[in-house]
Amino acid sequence: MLWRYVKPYNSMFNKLVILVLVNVSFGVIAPILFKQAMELVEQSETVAIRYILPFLIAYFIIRVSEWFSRVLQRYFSYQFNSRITNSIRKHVFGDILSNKLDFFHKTESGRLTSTITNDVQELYDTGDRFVYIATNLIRLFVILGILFYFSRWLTFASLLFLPLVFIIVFIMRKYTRRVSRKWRKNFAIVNQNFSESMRSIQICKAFNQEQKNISRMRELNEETYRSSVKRGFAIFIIGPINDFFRHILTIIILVVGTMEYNNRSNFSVSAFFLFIFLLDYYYYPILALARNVSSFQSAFAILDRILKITEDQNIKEEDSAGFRASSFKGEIEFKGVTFSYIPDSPVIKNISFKLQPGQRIALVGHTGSGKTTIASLLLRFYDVDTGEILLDGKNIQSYDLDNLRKKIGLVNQRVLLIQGTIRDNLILGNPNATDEDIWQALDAVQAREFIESIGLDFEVSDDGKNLSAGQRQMVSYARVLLTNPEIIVADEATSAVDLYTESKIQDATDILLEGRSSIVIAHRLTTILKSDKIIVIKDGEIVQQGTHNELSKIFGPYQEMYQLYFQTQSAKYLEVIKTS
Amino acid sequence: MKPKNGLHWIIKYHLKFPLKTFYTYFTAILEVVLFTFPIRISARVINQVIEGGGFTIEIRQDIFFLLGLAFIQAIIFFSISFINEILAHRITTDMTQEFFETLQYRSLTYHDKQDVGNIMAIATGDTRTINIALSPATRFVFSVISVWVLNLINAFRVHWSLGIIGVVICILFYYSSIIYAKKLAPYASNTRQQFSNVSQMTSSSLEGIREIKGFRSELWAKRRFIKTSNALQDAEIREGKKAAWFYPHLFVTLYTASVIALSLFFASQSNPVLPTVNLEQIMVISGYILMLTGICGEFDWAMSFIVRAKAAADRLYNIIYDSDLGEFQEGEKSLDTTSTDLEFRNVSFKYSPHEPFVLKDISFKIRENQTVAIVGGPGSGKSTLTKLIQRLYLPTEGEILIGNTSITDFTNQSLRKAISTVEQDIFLFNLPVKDNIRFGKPEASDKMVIDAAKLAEAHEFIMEMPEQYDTLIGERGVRLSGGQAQRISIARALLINPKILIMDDAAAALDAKTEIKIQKAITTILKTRTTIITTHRLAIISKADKVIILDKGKIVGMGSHEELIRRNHFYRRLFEQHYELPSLEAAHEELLEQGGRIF
Repeated sequence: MLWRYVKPYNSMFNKLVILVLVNVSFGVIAPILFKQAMELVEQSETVAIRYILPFLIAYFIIRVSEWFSRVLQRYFSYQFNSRITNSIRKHVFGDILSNKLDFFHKTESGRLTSTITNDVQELYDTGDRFVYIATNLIRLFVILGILFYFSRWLTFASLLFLPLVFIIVFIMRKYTRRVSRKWRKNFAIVNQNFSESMRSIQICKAFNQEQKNISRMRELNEETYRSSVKRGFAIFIIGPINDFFRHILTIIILVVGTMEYNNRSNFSVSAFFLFIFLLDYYYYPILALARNVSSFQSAFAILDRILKITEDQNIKEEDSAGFRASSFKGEIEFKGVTFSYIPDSPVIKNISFKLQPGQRIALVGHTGSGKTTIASLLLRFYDVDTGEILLDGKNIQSYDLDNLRKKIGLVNQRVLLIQGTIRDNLILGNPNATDEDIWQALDAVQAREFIESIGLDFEVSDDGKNLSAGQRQMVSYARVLLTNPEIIVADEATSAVDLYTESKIQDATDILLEGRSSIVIAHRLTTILKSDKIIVIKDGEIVQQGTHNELSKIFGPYQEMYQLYFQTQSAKYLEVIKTS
Repeated sequence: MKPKNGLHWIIKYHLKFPLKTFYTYFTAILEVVLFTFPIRISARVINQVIEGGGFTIEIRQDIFFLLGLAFIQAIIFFSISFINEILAHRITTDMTQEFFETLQYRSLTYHDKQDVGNIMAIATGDTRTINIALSPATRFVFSVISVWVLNLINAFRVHWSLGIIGVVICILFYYSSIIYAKKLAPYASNTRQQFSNVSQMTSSSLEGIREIKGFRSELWAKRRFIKTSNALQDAEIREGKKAAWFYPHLFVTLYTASVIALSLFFASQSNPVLPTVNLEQIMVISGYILMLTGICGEFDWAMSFIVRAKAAADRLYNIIYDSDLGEFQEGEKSLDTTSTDLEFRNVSFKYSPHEPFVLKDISFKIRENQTVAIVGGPGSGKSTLTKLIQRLYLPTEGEILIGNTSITDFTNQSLRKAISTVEQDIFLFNLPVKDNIRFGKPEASDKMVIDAAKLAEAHEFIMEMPEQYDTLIGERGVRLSGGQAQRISIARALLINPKILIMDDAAAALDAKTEIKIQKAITTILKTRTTIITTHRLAIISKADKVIILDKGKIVGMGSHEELIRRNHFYRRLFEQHYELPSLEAAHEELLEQGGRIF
C-alpha cells in the first residue's frame, strides 16, 4: 500500500537512496584513509611530504564532501517525506468523504481528525527516522565487512555482544512506551481541563469556583508531574545502560585486540585502532534500531488504521451512475418505510404518505419521534430497511446520488457553518456562484441587512459562534436558494430569536418554500398553518395526518400540541395588541 | 520582585531549586571529562601493546579501571539526566499552575480580549517547548561547550597553531549556530501554524459532514482541504530546505579535518621546527574529535529548542505580568443578611474605554421577591445588564445596590453565592450529569441534585441516559440537545437556592411543552426570590411584576405588560411585527366557533 504513495516520487526516492550510499561511502572512506596514513607514520620515523600530503588532502576533501552529501540527503529526505505524507493525507481525507453518514456517526470526529493529522504526521517522523536508520544500517554492514577483513576474531568478539544490548534496549523501550502513554494521557487531561476552564471562565466566576478550579488544576498538574517522573526514569535509564555496555565493548576490543596483536603479525596497530575508532559506528546503529522497532510497528498500525477507514467497501456510499433526471416534478411518496440505526430497534415504522408537486408537508412531533430521520432518508443519508421512497414515481435508489442530492435542498435545524468566510459558507452547494448571485439570493430572502454589515469576507469562527442566530439562519436559507433546488427538506430552528428577526425568518421561509415541494419539520404554528398537510409522528409512526382544520377539531395528539403552542405563542396577547 | 523578561523569569524559577540546578549543569560539564578516560586508556593500552610484552600489569589495571569507570559513569549519567528531567518538569508544572492561577483571577474584561486558542497554545505548546529546552537541550549545550574546551586544551597541548585554529572555529561555530537557529525559528513556527490549519480544517469539515453531503460539495471540501494540506507540505519543505543546510556543522568538519591532517603531518615529520606528535597522541586527538563530531551533530536541534523556548517564555511572561484593566478590589460585607431589593442608579457601562456605551443611564428598582422581565432586541444590552448584577463587570458610571448597599462593598464569595444564573450560552462541563448540576454547591447531596433536576424537568431524560446521573456530558460523553442542556443549567442554578435568580434567555432552546412545565414547577420558587429574566416570550413576560424595555442600551419603557402594550410604542412594535398573522387569527376564531378548548 505504501508503494502506491512512493511511486509518484520514484526518481526522488532513487536520488535519496544514492545519496545515502554516497554519504555512507564517504563516511567509511575517511577513517580508512586515516588508518592508511597512520600506518605510514607507524612504519617509519619520517615520511616524505609527497607521500603523506595526498592522504591528508584527500582526507580533508572527503570529510567536506561527506558533510555536503549529508546536506543533500537531508534536503531530499525532507521533500520526499512531506510529499508522501501530504499525498497520504489528501487521499485519506478524500476517501473518507465518500463514506456513508453512518460511518461518521459511529466514529468519533476527534478520533478521525487525529488520524488524518497526528497519525499521518507520525508517518512523517517515522519516514525521517527510517532514512536515518537505513543510513546507519548500511554503514554498519559496510564497516563490519571492512573490520572482518582486518580481523575476523575481533569482529566476532564485538558482534557476539550486540544481540544482548539489542534485547535489553528493546524490552526497556516497551516499558518506556507504557509510561509515556500514561504521561501523555495525563498531560492531555491537564490541557483539556485548562481549556475548559478558560472557556467557562464566566460561569466559574458567577458560581464562585475560581479557588476550586485552581486546586483541581493543581491536583491534575501534580498527577502529571508524578507520571512525568516515572517517564523520565524510563527514558533516562536507557542512556546509562548504553554507555555502560559501550565501555564493556571497549574493554572487549582492547583485550581481544591485544591478543590478536600478539598472535598475528599482519594485524597492525592502525587496524587495532580502527576498531576503537569505528566503535560508535557499529554500536549506535544497533541501539537506534532497537529503539525504533516499535515506532515502525506503530507506523504499520497507522497504515492499517488508514486502510480500514478508506478502503472498506461496506462503509462507502454507493455512487454508481444511476438515473439522472434533468429536473424533478417533485412528487414524493413514502411507501411502508421502516428504518433502524441499530438492527431490530426501528426508529421509523411503516411510514406511508404522498406529496404532490409543489405541496408543503409539515412533520410534527416531539423530539426523538423520528422526524429528522424521515428527512435524512429522503436525502439518502441512510437507505431504508424495508419499503421504498419514490420520487416522481421512481425509487430514489435508482437515481444518481449526485443528481438526487443536488436537486433536494437541505436546511438543518442546527445551522452548521464550516470554518471559512461567509462566502465559503454560502457557496457550499454551488461553488461557481458569483458575488452577484450571492447578493441576489440574500436579497431574495431579505437577508441583505443581516450580512451587509459584516461583509462576505467575514471569517466565520468555529461553529459560527461569532454570528447571531438570525445571521446563521439567513446564511443557511440563502445557500439553499443558491443551489436552486426543486425539493426542500427543512428542519425548522427552535431557538428563540428576537421577534423582529423571527418575523424576517418567517418571511424568508415562505420565499424559500414557494413553488417547491417541501417537507418541513415544523416547530412554529405559522409554519404548520401554511402547510398543505400535517403529519403527526409519534415514536416513529404516523399517528395522525390531515390539514390543520381537520386535525385541530379531533381530540388527539395534534390538538393537544396545538393548544400548547397557542398558549405559549400567545394568541391571548395578540388579541390585546389588536384591540388596543 | 518582578522579573525583567522571560529568560529572567525562568532563571528565577531555577533559583528555587539551587541544588538540582547546580548539580545538573555542573555535572553536565564534568560528565564529558569522564568520557575522555576510555579514549586515553585505549590509546595507552594500544601504545603499550606496540611496545610489546603481552598483557602487562598496567594493561590489566587499565582494563579494571575502565570497568569501574563504566559503573560510575552509568550512575552519574543517569542521576544527572534524571534530575535534570525532574527539575524541568517541576519548573514547567509550576509555570503552568502560575499561568492558570493568574488567568483564573483575571477579570472578565481581561478574558474578553483573550483568544482561548492562543491561551491554550501557550499553556500546552509553549510550556512543552520550555520543558524540552530545559531537559535535555540546555544541559546538552553545556556538554557541547565542555567538549569544545577539552578539544581546545588538547589542541593547544600539541601546538599553539592548532589551538588558535580551534578557538577561531569554535567561536564561528557558536555564533553561526545561534544565528542559524534564530533564522530557522520562523520557518518552524510557520509549519506548526499550517499544521494546526490542517487540523482545524479537518475537524470543521467532519463536523459539517451532513451539510457537505447534503449539498453534494464533497469535491469542494476536498479541494479546500488539498489547498490547506499543500500549504503544510510547502511549509515543511521550506523549513526542511533551510534545516538541511546546517552550515555551522561545516565548521566542525573543517576543524576535525584540519586537526587530524595537521597532527598526522606533524607526526610524520621529524623536523625540529615542528612539534613532535606520537601515535598515542594522535589516537587521543582523534578520539576527542570523534566525540566533538558526534555531539555537535545534535547541536542544531538543541539550539532550535532553546531559541523557541526563549520566545515561549516571553509569551508566558507577558501574559502573567500583563496588567488587568478590569481588576477591582472586593468589599468586606456579607450579603447573607441584607434584603434583596435591587436598584440600578444611573448605571452606564462600556466594555472598554474606546468602545461606545453598551448601557446608558440605567435606573430602576426591584423589590425583594419580585420578578422583572427585561425585553429588547439583540444588542440592546440585556445580557450585559445581568452580568453587572453579578459584578462580573463594574459599571463605568453609577452604582448598583442590593438592599441599599453598593454591590462593590460585598465579598465576591457572598455576592455570587446569593446570585445564580442560567446563562444564554450554556456551558456544561465534561463531568457526570450530577456534578454538573451541583457545580455551584459541590457538597449538595444526590437527593438535592435529583430534586433540582425534577424541578427543571430534567429528571426524566437524565434517567433515560445510559448511566443516568453518572453519565458523562460533553466531548467525551453524551451530546445533549439545546433544550436538555438548558434544563440542566436551570437545575444547576436552582440547586444553589439563590436569593437572586437571573435567567438570561433561559428558555430559548426549550420546546413549548417543556417550557410550560418548568414554568409551572418554578412558580413558587420565583415567588420567594428576586428574579431577573431576559426573554422574548410573551407567556413569561406577562407573568412578570415589571417589564423593562431596553433599546440600544437605554430604558425606553417600564411598567406592567398590560400598561406597556397599550401605551408603549417600542413595546408594541416588538410584538406587532411578529404577531400580524391573519391565518392564525382566523384559525383561532374558527376554533372558538367549534367550541374547542383553547385556554
